Amino acid sequence: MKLSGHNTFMRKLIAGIQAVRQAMAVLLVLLLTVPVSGMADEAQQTEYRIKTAFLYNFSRFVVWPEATLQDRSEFSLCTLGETLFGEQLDTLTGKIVHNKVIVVKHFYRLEDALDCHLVFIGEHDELAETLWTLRKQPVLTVSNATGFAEKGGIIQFKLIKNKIRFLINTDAAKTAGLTISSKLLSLAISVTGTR
Amino acid sequence: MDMRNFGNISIRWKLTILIVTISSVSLLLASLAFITSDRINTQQTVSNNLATMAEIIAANSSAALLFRDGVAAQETLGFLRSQQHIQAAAIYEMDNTIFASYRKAGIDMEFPESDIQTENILFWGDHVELFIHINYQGEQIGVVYLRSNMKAVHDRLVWFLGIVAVVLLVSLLVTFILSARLQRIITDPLLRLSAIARQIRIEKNYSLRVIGESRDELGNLITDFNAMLDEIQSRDDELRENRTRLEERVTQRTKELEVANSKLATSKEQAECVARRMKYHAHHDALTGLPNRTLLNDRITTELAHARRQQGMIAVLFLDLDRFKIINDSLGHAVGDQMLRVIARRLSNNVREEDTVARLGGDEFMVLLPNISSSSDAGRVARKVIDCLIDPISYNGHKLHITTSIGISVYPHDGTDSETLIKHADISMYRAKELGRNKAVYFTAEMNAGSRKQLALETSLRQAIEKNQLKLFYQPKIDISRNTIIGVEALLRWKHPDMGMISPMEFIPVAEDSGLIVPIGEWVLKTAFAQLKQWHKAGHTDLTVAVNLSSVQLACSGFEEVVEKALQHADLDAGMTELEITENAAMENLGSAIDVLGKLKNLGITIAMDDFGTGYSSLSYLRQLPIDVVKIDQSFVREIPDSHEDVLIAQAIIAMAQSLNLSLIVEGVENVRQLNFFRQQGCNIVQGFLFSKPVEAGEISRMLTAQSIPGTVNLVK
Repeated sequence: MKLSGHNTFMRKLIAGIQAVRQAMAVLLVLLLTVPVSGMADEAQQTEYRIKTAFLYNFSRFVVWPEATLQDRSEFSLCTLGETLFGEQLDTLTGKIVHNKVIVVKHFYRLEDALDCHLVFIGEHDELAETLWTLRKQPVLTVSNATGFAEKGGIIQFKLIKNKIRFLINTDAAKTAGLTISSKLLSLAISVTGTR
Repeated sequence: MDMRNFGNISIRWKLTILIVTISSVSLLLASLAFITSDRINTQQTVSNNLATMAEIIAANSSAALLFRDGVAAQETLGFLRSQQHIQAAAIYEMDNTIFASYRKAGIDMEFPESDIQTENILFWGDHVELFIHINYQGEQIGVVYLRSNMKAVHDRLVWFLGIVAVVLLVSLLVTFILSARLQRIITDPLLRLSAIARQIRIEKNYSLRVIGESRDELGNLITDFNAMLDEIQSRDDELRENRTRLEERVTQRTKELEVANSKLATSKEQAECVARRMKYHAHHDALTGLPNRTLLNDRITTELAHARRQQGMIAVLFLDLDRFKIINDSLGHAVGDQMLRVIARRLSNNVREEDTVARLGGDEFMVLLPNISSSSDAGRVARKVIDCLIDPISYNGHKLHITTSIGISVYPHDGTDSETLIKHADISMYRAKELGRNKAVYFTAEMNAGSRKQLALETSLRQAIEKNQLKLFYQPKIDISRNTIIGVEALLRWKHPDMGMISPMEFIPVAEDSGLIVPIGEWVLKTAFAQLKQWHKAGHTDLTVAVNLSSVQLACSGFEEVVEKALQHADLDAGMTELEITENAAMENLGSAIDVLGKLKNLGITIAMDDFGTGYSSLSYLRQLPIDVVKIDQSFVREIPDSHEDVLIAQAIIAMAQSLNLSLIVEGVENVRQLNFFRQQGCNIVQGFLFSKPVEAGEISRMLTAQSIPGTVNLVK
């Protein structure tokens, strides 16, 4: 009796200690995970903020054929497929480029994006087919995808030492009827195609 | 260069220095202007160059900036390495962070904060800084900063300074050589002129002339100088001639002057003599030759100043001869004047050399005693003065006795200015007179108070006449043989609104001193006479009135006319009136008293001698007075019959009156014993409190109507 009574006490004590331990573990997990995910988000946000600025600046250093600018009342800056821009890209809405007001549009089907001046191609299964379709359209194609420039994309982002740089395929640009400023070319880490 | 030294150097050098200085200054100013303008130009060029360079950098770095390509931007700045004068460069982003920078080796500096908004160029002491905007498609995306050294500017300046220095030196030399030659054009003729002038001065040879040929101002100067020499030469000759003539004339004139001078000296002496005499007369009394009031005042002022400095004492003695007026009036002015001369001599002989005896006029003298050691010294001198008059003064066989009353005041005790001292000595002198004459009295503060009171009394007395405060009271005279009131004596009373009844003993002397006694006396006569007329009209036709006279009234010319007029005014018989005069008043001015009283008596007025026996006059004088009545003074009556001596005096007076055939009135009868004594002596007319004190006119009227003798008449029977 005496012993069983003792056991009851001990059991209660151990259960208490375990409860405290569990609570501390939960707290520790919370403390560790929240900032880590936050930091990851912040780095990504910064990256996409810069990429947004780059997209805007690309449009300023590229000359579209007169017809594509005269026909349309606005400058369409589009995304195709899933991207990580979130709402960042929308900050460009209302800015002026080549005397046109920028309109930001998000599409998932290629047919919808044919009238865009600039298309950022996100996660996309049929990249080669898309590029082939847009090949002769006056559309500036930009993407993060590896080997995008080689595959016929015009500008490809590349992270070097945590800095955002880009590659340019001048042949693709020429085929699309776009002229790229030499200033922009001089900043590219590599330029494919005949100059 | 010191301006004084500049004055000493020759005109030749002065001109050279002048020319060289002027040319140097103008050259320096021109160089300064040239260098300044060049510096401005150089700065402009430098800033233009820098701006161009910065524009190139801005254009080349815009893409790199937009795509945040630091390496590309750094490359853009790389070409600056070949530009020696560029010390540093930087590209700023819009948030003022440095995006790319370049710094020349060996340059130690901090990149400044860029004011993103402003494009400007800043010139510092040793470097220039430039900020310009980096724009892309009309939008500012950054700032280019350039910093360059000023070597180009400085090098240029040094180069120019060198050229200026060389030009300056060369031009100085040329100017100096040229001016040294050119200044001779001006200085040569001047030096010639100067040399000739000096030669003339030394040799006194006015025949020398300066040779000059130019037609400018210097030529004119030389011509004028020569003309002046001509003039001088001719004058010189003339002068020499004149001098000989002048010398002769001077000798002649000197002689004439000496004669005139001696004449002038004589007349000057005379003028001084007259002036001295005039001054003497202005300061001295003509009769005695003593200093007069003016000179005395001067001396007192001087001695006061002296005493004030030395903290010494001085005294002033005020002398007034006693009864001198009597001598003057009875024996004539010639006697009086002679006496004054003798007295003046005696006074002068009895004081120290430094004392001043002055005559103030009339019979007043003053002695100023400076440098006394105590106030008792003044008393001693006063004693001596009194003593020196003891010996009688002989004149035409007369031996005349004279005494003086002296008032003494002492500085600083009795006054600190001349006016106060004299005033206080005067007051003390009056006190001496009051105390019986032939005395010297020191001034005391109480006297001043007394005299002030007197002054106040005089003022209110003057008002008393205007305000009708004076009143006449009447004391009846009784004929005890018939028990009737035969007359009244008019007595003046002053009822002052504040001070109440003021005694005649008090205000009559004031009235006499101030002369107010004349109008008051006139009023008394008129009033008393008019009142008597009233009583006569009421049927008391035998009643007489007696009025008291003052010595001042007697001395007043035309007094008898005043009395006559009052009689006429009241339409009164002169025989019903009586005028009373005291023995002393009569003796004070005996001559005129005899005269005036005689005239009054001729009018029919009865003359009574009041206070008989109190004076010291001799009977021989009394006999000359036209008296009808003698009033025995109450001072003899008071002790009668107890005082044996007074009884004897009263009997003597009564005997004398009877022998001279004069009537008698007894004054101040206060009791029955006195009354009985005088009744036994045969005196029937009495006055006194036993019957009535002086009362108002109405009361007298009542007594007359009742025919009742007030008081003790029944007792008398």
